[in-house]
Amino acid sequence: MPITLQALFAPTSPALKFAIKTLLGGGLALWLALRWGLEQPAWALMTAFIVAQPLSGMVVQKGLARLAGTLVGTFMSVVFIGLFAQTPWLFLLTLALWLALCTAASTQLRSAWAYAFVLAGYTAAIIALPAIDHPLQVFDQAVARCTEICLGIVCATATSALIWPMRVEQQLGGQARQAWQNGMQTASAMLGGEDEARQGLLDILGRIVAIDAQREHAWFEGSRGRQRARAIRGLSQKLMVLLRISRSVRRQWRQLDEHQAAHLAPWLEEVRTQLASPDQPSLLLLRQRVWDAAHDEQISPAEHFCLARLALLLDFAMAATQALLDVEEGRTPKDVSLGLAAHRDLPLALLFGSRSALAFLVMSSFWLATAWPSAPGGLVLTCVVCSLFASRENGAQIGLSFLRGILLAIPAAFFVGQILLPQWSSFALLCLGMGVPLFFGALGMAHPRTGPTATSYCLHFIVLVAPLNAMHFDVASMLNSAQAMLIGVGAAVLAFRLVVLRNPKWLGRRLRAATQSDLVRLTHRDLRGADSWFGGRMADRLMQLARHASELPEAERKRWDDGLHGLDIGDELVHLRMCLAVAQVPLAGAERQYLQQLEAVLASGPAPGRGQRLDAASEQFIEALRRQPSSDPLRLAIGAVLQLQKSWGKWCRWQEEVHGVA
Amino acid sequence: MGLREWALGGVLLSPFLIYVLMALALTGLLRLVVQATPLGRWIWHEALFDAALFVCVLSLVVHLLGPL
Repeated sequence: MPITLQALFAPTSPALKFAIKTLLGGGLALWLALRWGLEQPAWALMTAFIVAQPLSGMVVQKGLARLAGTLVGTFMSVVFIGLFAQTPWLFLLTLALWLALCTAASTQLRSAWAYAFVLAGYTAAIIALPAIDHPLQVFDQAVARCTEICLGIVCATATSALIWPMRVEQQLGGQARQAWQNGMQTASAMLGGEDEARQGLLDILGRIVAIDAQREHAWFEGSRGRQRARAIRGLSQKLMVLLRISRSVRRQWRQLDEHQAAHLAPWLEEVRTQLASPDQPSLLLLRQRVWDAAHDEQISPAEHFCLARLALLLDFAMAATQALLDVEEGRTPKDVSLGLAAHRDLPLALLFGSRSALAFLVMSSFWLATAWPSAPGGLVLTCVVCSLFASRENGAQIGLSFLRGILLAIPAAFFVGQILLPQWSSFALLCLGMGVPLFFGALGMAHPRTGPTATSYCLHFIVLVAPLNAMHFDVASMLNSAQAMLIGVGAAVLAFRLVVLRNPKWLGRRLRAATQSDLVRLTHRDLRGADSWFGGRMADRLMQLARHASELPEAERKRWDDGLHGLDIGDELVHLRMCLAVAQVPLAGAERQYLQQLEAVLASGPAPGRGQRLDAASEQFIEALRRQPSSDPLRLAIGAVLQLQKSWGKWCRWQEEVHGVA
Repeated sequence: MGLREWALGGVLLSPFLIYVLMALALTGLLRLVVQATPLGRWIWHEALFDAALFVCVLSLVVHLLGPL
């Protein structure tokens, strides 16, 4: 295991700093908790390790999420004990239901705030389960846990902000530039041809979504961080639109005949070289020239649409470059755009939730059947693992690395807690005894590959040593809780392995249905923010589709195209409505009629033989558009209507091909 | 061995723990056999099969060794 050895014995300097910071924060929390005589100081130490993150903003964000979740979970645990202390089964069922709801809510959120829901779920279990033996003390216990956790959060936040502060916002600049570069390259590749651009599109979508998530952390780093966060929002939206426009240029390009394509090829080449090394003034110049060429009297409508879209592409390339400058200089952009929306799937989230509840109920049946006093410890871990990794594709692997961490923690905790500490006394020696193993653990936490194992190692080491003011050493109880941990995490891994919620076909169908309903909504939705709303949701879906597609047999890989067709149609639809909004011509009746017909067609969904359904409506609407005095937006609108018709036909034909294969 | 506690340096361990470990080893062996023979092709849900096999083997072990 060279990576592990490297992480432990040849750490990078950021990893070393992180380990020292974490250790100091944990030590401070433990000292204060012992000094104030809190009931279980281990919780303060554990919390300091849980919220530890390499970057300051992340620690604050995670700490706040944990605080909010803990408060809600504490409150709920008191309520549950108050209501159901006499009826164990009802109590466990309610707890399972609560856990399911919290897990479902957390998987619905893409943001880091999902952690608050996870916490609300398992904190209720952490406090309520041990309290079932003596329900009258639940309030005291709840207050104690809450105090310890808050203490841990405050100490970790303080050390990470004061000692070698590493800020998210400073890293954001570099990441934003990379995303911007990738975006430009992908746009250029898509202009050139489709096939090689597909992987690029996926990469850049992932990058945009990841950087958009980082935005939340930067929010907690002063006013500069907040301004950067706003600028990032602008950048991700601009890049998303840029990618879609480059696809739309390519679509329009395919409508050109050979002669026209040859005529426009120099323009395309020029735009592509410009995108390879973009700078603001020459982009502006080129945009002006393309726009003038588009208004040449001699060119055909197809060429005009193509050039006009190229000009639009350059507009957004400039806007994205401006947004990048805003991010790098930490300015708030002038036009405030909405953040990317996320794709949500309620039934799937409820399934994830019920898997957690199921694992919890199985473990609690085991507890009630055996009446094993250590079982609640295992039960808590089942909750933690099930809800933390509920929506991860590789939940079982993460669970196994959790298990590995526990296996490493048991001998270390035995040596420190049962052999060394009984002979030592004083806080300094306690720190020495626990600090050395935890230091190596923290080094491992800094490396993404060894992270899960190391985190679990640190946490369980702390639980098994359980530092107290009046230590009591008992090998039997340590072995008992170690067993409970193994069984608890094992149950969670088993749940992940046995209840596999990953049927690519079913998920693909659900994603298709969601795309379709979004398209229907796009026909009448408010245009403001429609771009980032649709773009963000489609980015999520495309990435999910790609993940599922890799599990399908070769012949069915094409399922990914489903999402792309949907993306194209939505893009044209937004474009069309934008053009009509800009044109401001009185065709309310015709426009409404067309959009209603479009809505009906989209609602019925693409299927073999439905390719012609848009033809009549499109012709009528184009006729109505032609009757108006000619203007630029109107010409573009006509182009968009034609494209919509073509894209729809293509989507339907694609269904034929797929069904032919299947 | 029977259903009596197992003393490990003064710490009493449940006999079930030993049976579980034995069953785990036996299941692993059986799993290798199943994989080596064409039988493996007939399994629909591998994880479910393994879990069920483990439960069967464990109950067998407890049944056989418990009364001793």
